[in-house]
Amino acid sequence: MQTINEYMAADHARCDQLYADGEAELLSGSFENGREKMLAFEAGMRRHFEMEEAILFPAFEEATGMTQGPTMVMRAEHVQMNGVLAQIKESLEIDDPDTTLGAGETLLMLIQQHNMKEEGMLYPMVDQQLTAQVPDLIQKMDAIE
Amino acid sequence: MRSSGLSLDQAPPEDIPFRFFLTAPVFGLLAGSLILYRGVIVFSSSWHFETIALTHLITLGWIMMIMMGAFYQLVPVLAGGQVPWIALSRAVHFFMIIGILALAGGLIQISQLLFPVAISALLLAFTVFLTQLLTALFRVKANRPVVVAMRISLISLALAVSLGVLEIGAITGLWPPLIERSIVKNLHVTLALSGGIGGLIVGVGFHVIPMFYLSSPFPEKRAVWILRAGMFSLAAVSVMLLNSAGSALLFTAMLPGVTASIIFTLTVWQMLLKRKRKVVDATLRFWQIGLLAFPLSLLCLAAHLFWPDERLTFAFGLLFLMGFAATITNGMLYKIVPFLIWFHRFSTLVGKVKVPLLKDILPAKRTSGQLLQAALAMLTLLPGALLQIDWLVRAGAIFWLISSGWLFLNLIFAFRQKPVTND
Ligand SMILES: [Fe+2]
Ligand SMILES: [Fe+2]
Repeated sequence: MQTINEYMAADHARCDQLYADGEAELLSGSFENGREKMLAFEAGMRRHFEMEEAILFPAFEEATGMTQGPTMVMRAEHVQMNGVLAQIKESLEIDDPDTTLGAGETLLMLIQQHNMKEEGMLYPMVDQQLTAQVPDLIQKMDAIE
Repeated sequence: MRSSGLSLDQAPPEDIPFRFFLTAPVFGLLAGSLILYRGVIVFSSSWHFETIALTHLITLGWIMMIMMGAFYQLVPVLAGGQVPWIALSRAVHFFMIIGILALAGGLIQISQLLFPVAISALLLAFTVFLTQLLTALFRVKANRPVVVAMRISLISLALAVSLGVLEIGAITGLWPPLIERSIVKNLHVTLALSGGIGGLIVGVGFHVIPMFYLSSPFPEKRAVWILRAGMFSLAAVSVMLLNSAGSALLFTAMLPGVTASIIFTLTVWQMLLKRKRKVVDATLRFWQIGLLAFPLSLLCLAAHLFWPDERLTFAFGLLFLMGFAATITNGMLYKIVPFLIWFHRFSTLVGKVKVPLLKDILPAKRTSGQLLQAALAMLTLLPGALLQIDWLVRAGAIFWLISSGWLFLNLIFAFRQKPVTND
């Protein structure tokens, strides 16, 4: 059976790949392809946040009673990441690849240390404490557009 | 419940890692000045007091300073443990500075009275540091490879510091020598370098390459194997050294650890080559230089067992300390420092006001210039020490001074970035 950690880490890796593809295109100077891939990355990130904020975190908070704990910190970091994502989207609209790449680098550092904490602590806690609900949670998250 | 009290927001106050990071290049400047002033004499004998002073300006002043700052910063992220009594870290930093200056001052024969100061200050600093970090790391239940590597590093450091203190006390006549000096020296160096420094760099290396360059993850089973082989060799070499074993036995004891180090190097190199991100930055180059210097340093160390020429010791020291450890820690600063500035000062302002990006906090052209100086220092000091050419050594010292000063200015530049308050 797939664990939450495996399922979510795979989605982190998928978003990472989308970013790397977009960055490579922008570095090589093909702006159109780069924009397309970066927008796919942006959509991927927003979908991932929704999986967590609409399904995973509420389930964790309900099961543990911890609403001021790790999920609160993760939500706050999502807000920061969303802010930088908005900057990326804006720079794509005005054809400013330098800013896209700079904001991307900044966002990537945020994402990586955020994911490290989720994969190292939060997801294992979910797997441990909500074991019976895992298949159902995965199914619900899969259904998100 | 085990998870109670677990907060994911355990980063230390920004001044704690920064005070350690900013100090490193200052000791780099002191080390460079000593080489410039004394020239090739510092590469004449590894027993030479000035050589020992130089070594400790680099190991404690540069490498250990960055390692301490990194431990305080990274343990919450990589291991998920909270570092207790965090405010005491400021005292650790203060006593490290006093201790290193007193040790170096004593060794370059300013005054014998500095040795007791060095012993007390360094013991105090390390006792607090090690207690904080070992408490944090042994509370962590997860035995991820990075946690194991960090524990190996801290325990090796504890032993290395004890041996070092034992040795200073014996030199200054505070107490009689317990073990033969050459045994203490070899044990001290083995534990400090392979266990203390090597342990942390390897452990952190498991994670930061995938993080920064989106490479595939370091294979977990291989990481576990590397750490086991390293621990085995560390213990075996220590036992051999204590029993004054011959070269062949020592080499055999070293072999698993050396093999593990080479496998680590090749794996990370491969991960870098196959990284998903195509971007090339100074940190990547620093890692590549470090990964080249690492196996070369081990080659010199192994050769030294069978061909006991002091010049091989210096080649090992330069390659391991400056080429590998100082280079990789230098590169890491360029990733960690701008991010921490951004995280502490600007992350909460995102979306509200225009915030700088990492590239604005520390522009790439500032870092690549320093990288070149660091590489030139290595390329001149190495032949200078090997061929015993005084002017080459002094030229190397100048490159090293430029490199250290440049790093310092870069860190200060990043440190000065603050949100603009519009009133
Ligand atoms: Fe998240
Ligand atoms: Fe996530």
